[in-house]
Amino acid sequence: MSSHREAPEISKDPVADSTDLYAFVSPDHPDTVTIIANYVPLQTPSSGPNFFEFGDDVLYEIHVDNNGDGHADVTYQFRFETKLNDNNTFLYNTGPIEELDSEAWNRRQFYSVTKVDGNGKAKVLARNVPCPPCNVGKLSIPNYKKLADDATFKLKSGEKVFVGQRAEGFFVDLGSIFDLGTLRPFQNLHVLGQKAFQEAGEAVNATDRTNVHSIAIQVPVTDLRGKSSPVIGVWTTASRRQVRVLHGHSSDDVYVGPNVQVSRLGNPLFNEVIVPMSKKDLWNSLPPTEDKNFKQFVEQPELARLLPALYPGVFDNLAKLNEAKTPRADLVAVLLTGIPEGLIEGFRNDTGDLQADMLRLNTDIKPSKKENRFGLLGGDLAGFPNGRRVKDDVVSIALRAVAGATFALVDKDFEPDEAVADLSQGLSAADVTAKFLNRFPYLGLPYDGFNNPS
Amino acid sequence: MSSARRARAVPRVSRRTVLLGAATVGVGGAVVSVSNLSEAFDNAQNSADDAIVVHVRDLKNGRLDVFAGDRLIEVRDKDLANRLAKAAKK
Repeated sequence: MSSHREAPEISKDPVADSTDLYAFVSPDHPDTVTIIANYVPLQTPSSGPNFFEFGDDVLYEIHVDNNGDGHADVTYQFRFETKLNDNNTFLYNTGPIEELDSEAWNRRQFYSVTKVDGNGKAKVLARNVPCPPCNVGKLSIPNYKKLADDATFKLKSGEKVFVGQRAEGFFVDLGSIFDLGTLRPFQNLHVLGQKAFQEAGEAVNATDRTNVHSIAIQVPVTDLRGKSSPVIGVWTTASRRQVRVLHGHSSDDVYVGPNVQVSRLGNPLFNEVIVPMSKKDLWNSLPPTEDKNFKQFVEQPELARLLPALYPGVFDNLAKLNEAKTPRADLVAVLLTGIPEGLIEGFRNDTGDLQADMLRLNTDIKPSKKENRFGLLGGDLAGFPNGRRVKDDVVSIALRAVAGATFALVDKDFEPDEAVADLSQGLSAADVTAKFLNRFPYLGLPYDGFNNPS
Repeated sequence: MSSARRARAVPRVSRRTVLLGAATVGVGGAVVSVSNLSEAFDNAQNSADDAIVVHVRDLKNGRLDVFAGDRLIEVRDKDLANRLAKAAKK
């Protein structure tokens, strides 16, 4: 997946598990940047009575570097508090929830927003901001859209925030990809699939009809940009207190010590498919400034070696590139430094020499009137890897890039294999059942528990 | 719980009651080193009710990690480390 359960330790801690990060110039408010950090993956909507929520014991952060040093110049922190209304019921709600302060809603969550500058000076922007409920079902929540709208707030400091449950917008054929790298549209070309499949298959969106918890913030672009460059680097982290002492009664538990980072996400799929399993937990604990230590996995990605082996005769040019052990300067640019001027006409999103996994967004690039799901590789300068929009097909973009599509940018003599132009997981945003919104927070309303699964 | 009491327990929520004002606070999480435990407590600036957790990292050299509030204070105190080790054997 993008970053769902991408490392052994965080896969056992879903409340702190970052799943997707989006950053884009808001199409309906181009003077702002929208950043969405998703957590709590793969929620089955009908999971009552203890529906999903953020961790009161987790510090969630969105970081923005605007001078290329890999350190945050702007950080938004989100802290949560859960409040129980009735100690004598086992239910999430005892009647319809029609308002954010409905008496019938038993378990509610509130959050604070704190902004920290590059010098560590913090300012609390908002306190006791309510999250909307989980989408239990039509009887419990007759008008979910209204509640979600009510839970969207404009802060006095200029930011717009929404924090709560949303439909999963990331689409991926998980079942096939992790079954020995099968891509259903090409399954009959797979080294083992040649015997198992007579023809191409249709992809399955494995994350469809699941929910996530989103932290969405829309910020005036001038609050994020640095003085000398329009490019910002974005990442999200989740941290837990270093010490937790359990006493058997949660009210007596002790949480103490500094926050220790347990989850990190910049570019989608970085920790998922670039970093070896033995180093994934380590990577999650580190800041982007340490990513030079992972450069070798970007320069010689395992996936690039797997593609010619799994699809014999399909990626011969890539195989030759692998055999030559040519460092993949293209992937280093895409993932670690940003794409410098001169490779793609009218485009750059580089942030200097520092190698750091950040989702880089050139805020001077205007939103596209007609989005191409292949983003930059589809000629759409406003799409991934220039930031990331909610409908970008990051799996297919990453596949094409690793297969050699972007190497041609840095080596004019390299000719990508013919298959690269058709390489795709076979899915698009149209395979997400919940409709995306054309306004903040852009991800669709969460699936309700009554009908999902059905 | 009576409905009247429940009503008081439920924070009323409206766009007006959400506190959107600003207040400046310090950012915690620092790690500091001190030479003994009393100095560590002075440094932690904790109230009497706040928990303090001590981890003996290295008994031989008297290295202790003191967790207090959102801080980690590294302490070197062989005597205390030995007394804690002795207590742990009881």
